[in-house]
Amino acid sequence: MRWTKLHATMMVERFLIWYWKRRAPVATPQWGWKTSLADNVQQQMNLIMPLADTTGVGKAKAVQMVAANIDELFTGLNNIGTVHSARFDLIGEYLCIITVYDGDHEVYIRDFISVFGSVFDAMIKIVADPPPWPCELYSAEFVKWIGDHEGFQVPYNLTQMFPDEKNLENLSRDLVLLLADNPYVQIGRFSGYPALSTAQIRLAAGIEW
Amino acid sequence: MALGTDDDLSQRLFDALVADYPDHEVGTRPVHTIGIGARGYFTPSNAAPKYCVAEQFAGPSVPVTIRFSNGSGSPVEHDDALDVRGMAAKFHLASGGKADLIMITLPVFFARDPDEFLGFARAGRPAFDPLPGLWQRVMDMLRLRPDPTRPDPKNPYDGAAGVLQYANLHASARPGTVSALLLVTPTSYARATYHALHSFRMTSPDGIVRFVRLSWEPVAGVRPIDPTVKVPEDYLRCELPERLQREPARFVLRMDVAGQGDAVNDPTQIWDTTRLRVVLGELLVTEVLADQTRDCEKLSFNPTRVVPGLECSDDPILTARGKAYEYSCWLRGGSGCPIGGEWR
Amino acid sequence: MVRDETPNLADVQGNILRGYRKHLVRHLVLTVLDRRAVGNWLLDVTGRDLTAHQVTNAEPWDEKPSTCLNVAVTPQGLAALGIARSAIETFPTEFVAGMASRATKIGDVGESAPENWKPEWRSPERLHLVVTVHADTEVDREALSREVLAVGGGQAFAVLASLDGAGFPGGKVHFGYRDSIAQPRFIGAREALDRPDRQPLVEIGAALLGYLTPIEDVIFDVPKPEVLGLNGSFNAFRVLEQRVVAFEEFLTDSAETILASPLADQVLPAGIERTWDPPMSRLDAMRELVAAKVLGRWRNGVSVQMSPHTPTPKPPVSEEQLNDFAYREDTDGARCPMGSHVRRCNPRDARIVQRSTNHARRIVRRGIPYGPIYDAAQPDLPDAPERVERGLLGSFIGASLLVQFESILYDWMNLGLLDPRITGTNDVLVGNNDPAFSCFALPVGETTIELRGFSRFTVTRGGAYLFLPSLSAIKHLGQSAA
Repeated sequence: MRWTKLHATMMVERFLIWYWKRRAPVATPQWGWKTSLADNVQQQMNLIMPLADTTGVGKAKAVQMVAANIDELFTGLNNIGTVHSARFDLIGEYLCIITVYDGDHEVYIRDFISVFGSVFDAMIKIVADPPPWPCELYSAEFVKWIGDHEGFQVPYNLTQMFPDEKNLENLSRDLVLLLADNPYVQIGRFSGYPALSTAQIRLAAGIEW
Repeated sequence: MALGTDDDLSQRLFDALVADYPDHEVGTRPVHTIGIGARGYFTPSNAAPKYCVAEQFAGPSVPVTIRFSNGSGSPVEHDDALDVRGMAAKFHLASGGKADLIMITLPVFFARDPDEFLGFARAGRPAFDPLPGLWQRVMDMLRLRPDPTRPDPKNPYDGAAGVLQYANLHASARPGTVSALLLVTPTSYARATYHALHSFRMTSPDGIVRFVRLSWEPVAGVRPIDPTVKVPEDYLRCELPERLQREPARFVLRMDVAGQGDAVNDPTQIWDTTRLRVVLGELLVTEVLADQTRDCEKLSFNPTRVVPGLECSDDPILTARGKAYEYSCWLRGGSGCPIGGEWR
Repeated sequence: MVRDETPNLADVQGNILRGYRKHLVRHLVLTVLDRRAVGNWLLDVTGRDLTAHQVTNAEPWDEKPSTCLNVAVTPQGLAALGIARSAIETFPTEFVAGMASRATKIGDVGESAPENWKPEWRSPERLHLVVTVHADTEVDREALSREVLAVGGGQAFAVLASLDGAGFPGGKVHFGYRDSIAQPRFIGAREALDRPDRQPLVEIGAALLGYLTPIEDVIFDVPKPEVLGLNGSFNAFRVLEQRVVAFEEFLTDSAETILASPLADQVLPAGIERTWDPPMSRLDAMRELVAAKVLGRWRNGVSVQMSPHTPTPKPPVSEEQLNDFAYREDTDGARCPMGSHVRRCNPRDARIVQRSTNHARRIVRRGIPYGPIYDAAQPDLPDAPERVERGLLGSFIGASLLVQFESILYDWMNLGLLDPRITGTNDVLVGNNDPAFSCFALPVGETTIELRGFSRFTVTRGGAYLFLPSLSAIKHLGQSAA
C-alpha cells in the first residue's frame, strides 16, 4: 500500500479521534436538537439502510421492490395525511427513505407500519442488518431500528449542539467526535413554506386534505 | 440590577463602545462610524397590511433613506477588514412621520441586557494577540481545532481573544460570538443579509399580536470576497455608486414569526429557519445620496423609532439602544433626536 | 402469538376494562424497602392468603365490593422487586425512560415541567409502586390503606406520598363538567352502563398487552417474560392541577367578547337562555355555551353535537343517549368545534388529517378530583386566586403509552394536527397554552370567532408511567421478590 499524504492524515486523525473520545467524550442526544416547541411540523427523516445484496442484481431488486409496491406506498402516504414529501433513493450501497412529515417521529413510524407494513416487511428482507419481522408484531424494535439507521440532524448553529462545552475553540473537535459516531448527517433544512402542516397547505391551495 | 439613571447608562454604554476603538473621533458615531447613504423606496407586499397596521405597510410605496456602514468605531476606513456591516433604513411616511429599521449582518446579539453588554464590550478591548506560531498551530491541529481567524490580519492588537474568553464564560454570548467568528466580507453592501436582531411587536388589523424578527435579504444574493485577493480599503464605498448606476439594489423584507417557546425579549437566542416566514415587501435602493453629510451623516437612525403597528418588544438591549442612540445623537449634534420630543 | 380470544378476566386488574365508580380513592406512592416482605404480600394478595385484601380483578360483580385494590409498578419498581435488567429492557422505551423524560413531547413545559413537579415525582429511583385503594367511605379507605402499609411490620414500604381523591356529586370534576361519560366499549368486556356510541367496538388489545389492537394486524410488543407482560396495561398517571378561577374568568371574558360581536345571536339564538332549565341571564348562558364549546359537552354532560344551543333540550337526552352521536355531518364544527376537547381526543368518525387513525388511539380514562371544590360564592382570597390547589388525579390507561396517551397529547391535544383549521392551536382545557399564542376557533356560520389570550388551565404537578401487571404477573413479581 502506498503511503499517500491522505492515508497519513487519516491515520493521524483516527488516532486523535480515539484519544479525544476518551478524554472529552461527546454524547449524541436522543431526540436530536429540537430548537423550539414550535418545531413540530415539517420534521425530517433520513433513513439510510445498507443493502444486503450490493451486486447489480441486488440493487435492481431493491428498485423493483419499491416500484412493485407503489400503490401501497402512495395510498399509505396519502392516508397518513401528514407527509409533505417522501422519496426512495438508492445511494451507493444504501437504500434511503427521505421524508418530511408533520408530528411526532415515533408516531409517524407507527403509522407507517399500520398503513404499509408489508412494504416495510419486503424492505426488511433486503437490508443487511434487518430487525425482527414482521414489523406489525415487533413494532417497538422496528422503531428502534429505524432510529439507529437515521441520519443525524445537525442544527446550523454549533453552540446549540454542545451547550456544555466550556471552550468555544473545542466546538470543531466536538463536531469531529460526533460525526465519528454518526456517519450519516443532515445539515440544516430549508422549506419554502415553513411552520405549515401538509393539510394546512392543501387547504390553502384548494386541493383538499 | 440597578445601573443608575438611564442617561448614566447611555453614557456608560457609549463610553464602553468607544473604548474598544482607541482612535475614535469625537463627533462621530461610536460604532458604525464609516458609512455611505443612499435613497430608495419600499413597496409592501399584499400580505403585509394583513399582518401589520403600521403605516409603512399600508401601501403603495414609501421613500426610504438607507445608510450602509462598517461596524468599526475607528475613523480609518478598512472596508477590506472582517467586520460587521450595518444597514439603517429610515422610512419617510406619508403622514410626515418617520420609522427606522436598523439591521446588521449578524443574526443574534452578544448580550441579553446592558450589564452583559458592558461586560462583553470590556472583554473586546484590543489586546496583544499575535498570530499563533508554528508550534501553536501544531497544537491546535492535535486538538482538532480550526485555524483561528481574526478581524484584521495585519493588526496583532484586537479583541477577538478577549471576546472568545468572554463567550466561554457566558453561554448567552455564544451564538452571537460564533456567528461573528463566521463573518465574511461581502463584495458589496448590496450583497449581504442584514438582521434586526430584536423582536418587534406586530399588530394586525384584527388585533392579533405577533412577535417577529425582520431581515433584509439581498435579491442579488450574498457574496463574500475571495479572502486571498487584495482589495482597496475603500472598495465598498466605491462599489455602491457604481452598482446603483447600473441597476438598483433590491432587498426583500422578510419576517420570521415567533413560535411558542421562543424567547422574544432575548436577542441572543437563535430562531431556527423553521419559523413561519412572511415576505413583507421589497426595497429598491436607487442612488447614492448627493449630499452625504446633510442627508445621511447628520441623521439619527434609532432602533426604537417606531410607529404604531410595529413596535418594540421588551428586549432590554433594544430599550437601552434606543436611549444610547439618542445620547450619541445629541453628542454629535445629529438631527431627529430625541424621538418625538424636545430635550428636557 | 396472536391472541384473539377474550382474555381471562380473572387475570386482569379490575380498573382497566371498567371503572369501579367508587366515591373515594387513595394512591399510595411507595418505595420498596423490604423486598421480601413486599414479595410475600404480592403473593398473598393474588390468591395465596385470602385474609388479605386481594387485588381486584376484572370479573363482573354480582355484588360490588366495598373496597378495591390495585397495584401499579414503575421500571425502578420492577428492578426493586428483582426483575432482571434484560427483562425490563423488553418493556417499551417510553415506559423505561419515564414520564419526565418525555416532557417536551407531551407538553410538560414551563410551569408543568418536571423540575417543578412535587418531590415524590422527581425521584424516580425511589418511586417503585403506586398502590391504589378505592372505597366509598373514609373508614373503609383508611382501613385498607393501613392494611397495605402494615405489610412487613410496617417496614416494607416508605410512603413518598399519599394522594387522596374524592368524587363530587353528579360525577363532576373541578371545571364543573360531568366527567367520564365516554369510554371505549371493548369487544368481550363491557362496562355495566354500556351506552351506544356509534363507534366500532374496540379490540381488547387497546387495553391489554398480547391481543389484536384497533390497528389492523398490529399487536403491541409484549414485555418478556410473557407471564410478566401478558394481560398487563400501562397507566400514564398524572397529578393535574386545575386552575378553576382562571378558567371561570376565561368563560366570562369570552362570553363578553362574543356578546359584543354582531355574531352573538348566531352563536346563541336570542332568548333561548330563557327556555333552559334552569333559565339564566344571557351572560351566564353565553358563559355556559363557551364552556360547552371548548369541551364538546355542556357541563351537565349533554353533547353539543346533539344539542348545540341548550343543555336541556326537549325532549331531554336520556342517560343512555349521552354518547349517541357522531361528527361526520358536522364537517365545519358548527355544532361541536374541531378544537373542542372531546373531539380532539376522540375524533370518532370526523374527517381528520390522519385518516387511518380515527380509532387507533382509543384510551381508557379514570380520574378523580382532589382538593376542595371551588365555590364561587366563597372564592379563594382575591389577591391569590389560585391559592388553594385543586385538580385531578388522572389515570390514562392503554396498552401503548406511545400510540395512545402520548400521540393524543402530542399532535391532537397540542398542535391540533388532526384538522388544518385548528393546527397550531392547543386544547383550551389541558393544552400547553401561552397567552401570546393561545387560540380557540369557534365556528359560527360561514365564519369563525377566535378566542385568544388565555393561559394554561391544567398544570402538571407530577406523574409517572406505570405498568399495571396482570394478576399472574403480580404473582411472578411476588415470587421474584420473595
